[in-house]
Amino acid sequence: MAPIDTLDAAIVRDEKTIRETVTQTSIKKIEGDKIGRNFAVLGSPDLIKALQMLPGVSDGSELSSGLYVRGGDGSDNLYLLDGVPMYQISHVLGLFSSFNTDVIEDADFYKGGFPARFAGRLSSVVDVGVREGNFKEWHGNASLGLIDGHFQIEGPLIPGKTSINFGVRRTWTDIVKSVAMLFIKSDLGQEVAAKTHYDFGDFNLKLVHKFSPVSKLSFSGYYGQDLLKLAAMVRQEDMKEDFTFDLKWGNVLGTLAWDRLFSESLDMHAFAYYTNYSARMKIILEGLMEEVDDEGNKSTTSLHMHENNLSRIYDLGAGVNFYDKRWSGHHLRFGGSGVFHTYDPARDESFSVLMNNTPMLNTSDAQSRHYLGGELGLYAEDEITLGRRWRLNFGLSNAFLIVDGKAYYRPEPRAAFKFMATDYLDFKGSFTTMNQFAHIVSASYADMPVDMWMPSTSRVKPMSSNQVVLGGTLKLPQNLTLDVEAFYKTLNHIYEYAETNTMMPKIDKWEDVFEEGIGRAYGLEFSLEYKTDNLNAAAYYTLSKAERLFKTFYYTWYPAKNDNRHKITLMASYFFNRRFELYAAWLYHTGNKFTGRSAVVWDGQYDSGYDLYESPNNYSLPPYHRLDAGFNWHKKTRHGYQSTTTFSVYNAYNHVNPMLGMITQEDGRMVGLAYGVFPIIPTLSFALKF
Amino acid sequence: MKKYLLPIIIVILGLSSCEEYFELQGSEGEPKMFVECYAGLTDTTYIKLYKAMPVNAKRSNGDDFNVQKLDFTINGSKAGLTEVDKTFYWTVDPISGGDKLAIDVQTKEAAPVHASTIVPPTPTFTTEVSYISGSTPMFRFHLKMDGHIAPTDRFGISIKEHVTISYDNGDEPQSYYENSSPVTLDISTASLSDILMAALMPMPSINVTGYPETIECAFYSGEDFSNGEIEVASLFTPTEMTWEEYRDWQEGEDGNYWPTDTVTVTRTDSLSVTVVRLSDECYGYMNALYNQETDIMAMLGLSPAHFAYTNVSGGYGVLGGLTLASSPWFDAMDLINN
Repeated sequence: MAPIDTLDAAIVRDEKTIRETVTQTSIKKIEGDKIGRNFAVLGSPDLIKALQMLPGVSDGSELSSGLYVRGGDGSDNLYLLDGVPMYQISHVLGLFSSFNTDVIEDADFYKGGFPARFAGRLSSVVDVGVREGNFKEWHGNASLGLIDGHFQIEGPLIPGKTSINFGVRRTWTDIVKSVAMLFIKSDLGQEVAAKTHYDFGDFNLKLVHKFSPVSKLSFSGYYGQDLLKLAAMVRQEDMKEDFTFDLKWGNVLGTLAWDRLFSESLDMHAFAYYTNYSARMKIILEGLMEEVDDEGNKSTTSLHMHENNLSRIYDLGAGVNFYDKRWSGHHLRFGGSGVFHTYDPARDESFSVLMNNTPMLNTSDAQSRHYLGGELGLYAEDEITLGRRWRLNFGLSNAFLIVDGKAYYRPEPRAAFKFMATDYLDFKGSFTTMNQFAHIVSASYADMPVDMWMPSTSRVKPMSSNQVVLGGTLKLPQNLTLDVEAFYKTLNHIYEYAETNTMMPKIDKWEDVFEEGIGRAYGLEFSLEYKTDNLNAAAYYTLSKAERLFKTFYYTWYPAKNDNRHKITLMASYFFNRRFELYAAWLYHTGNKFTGRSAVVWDGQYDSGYDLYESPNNYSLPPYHRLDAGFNWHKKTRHGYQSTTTFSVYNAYNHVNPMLGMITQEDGRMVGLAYGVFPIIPTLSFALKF
Repeated sequence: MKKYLLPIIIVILGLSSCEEYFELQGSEGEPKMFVECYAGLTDTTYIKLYKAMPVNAKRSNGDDFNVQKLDFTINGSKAGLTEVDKTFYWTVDPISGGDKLAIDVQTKEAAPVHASTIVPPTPTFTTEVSYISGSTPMFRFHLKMDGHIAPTDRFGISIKEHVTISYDNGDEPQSYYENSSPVTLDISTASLSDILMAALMPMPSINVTGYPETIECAFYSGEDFSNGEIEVASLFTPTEMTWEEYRDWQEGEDGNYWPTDTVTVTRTDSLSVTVVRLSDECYGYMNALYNQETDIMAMLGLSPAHFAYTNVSGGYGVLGGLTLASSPWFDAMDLINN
């Protein structure tokens, strides 16, 4: 029997083999070492930033870790790290994602045509595999960027039997700042002082032990945390005020998996996992004011406010997958998994005012919800080979959820075909139904770490989507590949938070302010890629439309916020020789939408006017475009290690792209006013591989 | 936190961001018709028409238009319309709960518009009132609706107060009505944000041409009811119900002014609950108007904007149905003393 290393129950890497055996639309495979420094911001390459360049994907806010895929709303992407779901993937408020490229083996990104083994989200699956450690030799790398440092090491604990792969990242700026502050005095003076602190860190650990050539056990774990602290103090003769703000969030997850090869045509992958996401935001404000009146009577007024927000979700899951190729022309995959969910958001706040120690106002509030949910998924799919040219894939995923006294069952049919018309031309298509039992409750567009996850309940139904994809791939001369896909997607039972003027949604009555609607998205994606040994280039174009229908807000369809009609990406990287690599990427898309007044009515009787709004999201911000460029300089050190110096520039021509928009008057005309924040950002980093 | 977060965001944006002015697409386009018609609350239904000009329209005059056709139908039959002027029409054809209304307008200057709605049934309900004393005295109203309440049904609930001032000297009594939205919170345990919202933000109001008063209310959906029942509260601090008023002040021998007459004044307060049932279109439009005035975060682009509602295809405005019912009057002092 072939060793377990060479058989992969999940994805086959070789491109030719992919074409012949995988009936898959809308998939992009990225090798870990291909997420190069051309996708780096502030020194760190990032998987999510690489995915945001692809056709059919909007990034939402600049430098965020948002993925808005084919009309999705950002909360409908399934992120898997070695098969374990991650609920929040942002470091530094979105600047980096939680995926450390030093340890990534590969990532499969699905925008449609989801295989039956994936379920739980509507719009995309980002399936990231952590690399097994080297079983023969020790290797590693260390790198230092503008704000963070990385260290990764892998090697054999028992040569040929047990390997380890460990990667860690951490900011270093906070350490330098803490040391520097010992020597530098604040120039704000004695009356006012302010402190800031930010740090993030994470580590990945993967242990693999081979019992035999056909059996191996692996453990994969991840821990990540961000901490942001602000403090301000005012001291004056008759007043003092203290303000502190703490924001802490992070993931902990681990999985134990057993791979067993029963025969050359039957293998099994059994797993158990735990994943935990929690975020806490704490605000304290205390003030004291003293006054003396004309008669010398002293009065004091004191104020105390605190707010503590907690967002927690943890899962305990287990499952088994089988891959069976015993029947000629049929490759079967089947299996199931069960997950026990716990959703635990909470908030407590208090506000009091005392005058001369007498309570004038004293109020407090505590909200919390505690949901326990059980989810079961069973699936089966058959990859059918019909002759030399046809490949078909039929699958069914069955999803069951029990929570809040309510049971849901959702069947999810999947179907795909590939017709290999010639050696150079394929036609492909797929149909998928997906359901999502978890909802992000967010009152704003800001991707706040303390946004809450809540399950479907008796009042808030599971979301669902149906997507049809048709397309083709053409291999052109001169190493060119053209891929075209058309998609149509419908979204049902989607929700929007309808309370106003709040950054933190209600917890105890969150269902009351959720309005239900539907959505749809359709478009055409073109992808032209060129690959040689020295030059990799790609050009992507997307023409798409995304709409929403919420009858409470508007009587007919209106544009979704991230309805970017056109998107163009041009990328190239060129290896001059083995030492020098140059790269550039230009990204363009039409602006995000916002709502602004579109007309005025004059009431002739009263000579007064009032503003009218044509529809939600009736205006577009100016187009977004930027150029990223840089180079990697590789060198061999005298000890035989490889060093890489990277210099890159994000937004090289300093076009500050709009993030927010509103209407204002300028020179007697109504015009739009857009605000943007991010200018040109140069990056320098150094990496050493050993 | 919300009190500080918005100003912090505004300051950060102002100090650190770059601004870019840009042209608004379609801001110089063709005018559209604006239609406003609320039906079901009064015996006379009024229709207002205006021409809405795009914000950067080259022509500045907005109210010049010629009506070529105006059809208002009730269950498919055309209603008899009386024209006051080209912007104002009315009909006295009866409209009641369940009626299907539609309006079609064609003018020379703008594209034709169409809207439709169904008038909701008149709400019927029973009310129990109790007085809660303590540091925050309030009246609690327990409403039990008749018939089925669907989760998507929309209501406005208002507390109406009737105050009468009478005098024992035969002077003409004075009375006035006030209405206000109920406060559904217990102030001793309310959150900071609830208190700030209740104190700082105006509440929704229903203002229908021909109806004698503006109804301040709070909006509820069928989901807020439990088995057709809901409880709302109105803060009430008992004021002095009988007091002496001094009249006819005359100068005395000491040079000071002294009253020569005393009148006993009696104030009576009565309370009543008004329930307005709104069609989806009526609720969507009124809620949008309310959000336009109050939703600061959406105006800054920080959260979804819910102030662009219309059900007039091809135009702006609303054709909405609404009906209303009120509970009997409850004497405040009787409730307090019992």
